[in-house]
Amino acid sequence: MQQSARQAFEAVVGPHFDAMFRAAYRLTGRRCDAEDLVQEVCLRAFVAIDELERLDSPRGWLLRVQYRLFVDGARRAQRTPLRPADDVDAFDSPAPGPEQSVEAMHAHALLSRAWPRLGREQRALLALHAEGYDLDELHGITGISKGALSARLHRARVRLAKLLDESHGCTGLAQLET
Amino acid sequence: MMRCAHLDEILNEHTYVDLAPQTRAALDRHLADCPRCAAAWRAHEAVAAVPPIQSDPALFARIVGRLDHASREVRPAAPMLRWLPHVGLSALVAVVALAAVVLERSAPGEPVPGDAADTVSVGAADAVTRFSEGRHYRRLPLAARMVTGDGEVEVVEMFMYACFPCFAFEPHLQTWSESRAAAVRLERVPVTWGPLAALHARAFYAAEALGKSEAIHEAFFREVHVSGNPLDTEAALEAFFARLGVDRVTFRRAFESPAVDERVARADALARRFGIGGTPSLIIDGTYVTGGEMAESYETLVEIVDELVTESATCRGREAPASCRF
Repeated sequence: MQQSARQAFEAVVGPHFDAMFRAAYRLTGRRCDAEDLVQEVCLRAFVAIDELERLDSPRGWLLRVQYRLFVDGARRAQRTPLRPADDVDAFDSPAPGPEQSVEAMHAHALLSRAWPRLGREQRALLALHAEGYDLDELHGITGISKGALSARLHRARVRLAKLLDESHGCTGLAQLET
Repeated sequence: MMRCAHLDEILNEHTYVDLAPQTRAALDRHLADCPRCAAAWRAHEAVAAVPPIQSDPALFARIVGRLDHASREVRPAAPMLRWLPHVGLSALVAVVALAAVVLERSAPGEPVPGDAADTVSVGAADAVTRFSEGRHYRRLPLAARMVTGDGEVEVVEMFMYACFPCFAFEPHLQTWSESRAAAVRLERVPVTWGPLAALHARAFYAAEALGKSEAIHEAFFREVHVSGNPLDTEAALEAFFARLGVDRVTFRRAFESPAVDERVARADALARRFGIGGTPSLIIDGTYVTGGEMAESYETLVEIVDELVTESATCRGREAPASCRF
């Protein structure tokens, strides 16, 4: 029975795993947290594999659970002081190379600092949108109406822009060049 | 002239890559004149510039392997059977979820091969005690039975809907309590640690007031842990109850009733009285407390409770044998 459950899990979740991981990385901003997050989603998917097999769109279910787990994570972080809170720079630095301009690295550093200071729901909406999901798909994942999504995305972008400007004050080009 | 809403639509629907030249020119003019949209555009470009990341090719295989391994192992480590607010949650959920997998995929009560503990019979006629005070349970300094009397033995489960171990333990507790229905009075009491647990506790007692406890209890756990819906707002609870046939007005009347206030306050007082520090915790006959950290598995936890129930029933009698531990 375990074997069939595992096979069902691989068949249902496997094709969506990369999409889950990419979204998880944008949500959390850290590879290790993204791995934790997708693992939690996988475990829940395994528990519910019988139900998941019957769905037309398992990816929607998986991303919905992932979104909920991430947004709900704010409460967890408060309850679990051993776990790093949302105060660590986000996104691994791109490997330096000829294709990486100083400006691009600077922009990356600014976002890295600003991202964790954004609210979790705002991060989730911006991250999923950046993954290419449109409003219909975002509605399916988050359960938020399209009208509210549009307003919240706009507010999230304006808020992020403000945080980027603030980050700019403490991260200079000179610092990156050293 | 382009309006802010149009620019938002272009961004939200990802149509900016295929804009006609005149639309693009209008967009640029709008961005030059509207600082708010310019900020939104700048933020969008910053997020979009983060290069996509590839998962470690072995990650999925590792996760699948752990599922498989845990299924063979069956038993998680004891501390993972309990919700402890100070433990890293993802690790907790990960291991306990695997236990839940076993619950889902194994027949209830199926013995675990090679486990000596399962070969020991624990029943009313069995005078041998397997579990010891301090290791498998603790005794309350003062008995705190909720209902007095010499009838059924009272078992109180302190639980929390957001607690994954509570979800995983639920089928074990349910199966056991049905098997001991004649001797045991099981009462579930939600803990009220923090706003979410308090909200869920209120929903639990609202369901009770509406006579919907049975219909809602398991569904509530599954909504939180399988569907990933945290039910963390009153609106979400309203929608959840509505799906189970309770209209909004009826739900609100129960949810906001003084009787529910009183039950939630009582639940809070009980958790303090029993000195509960994690969930699930079980209080047997107002005398003994046990929980996930004192058992090796959910099956063992049930066996501990069963033994204490047997002993409580025996020792309540007027002619209690000398072997009684209290």
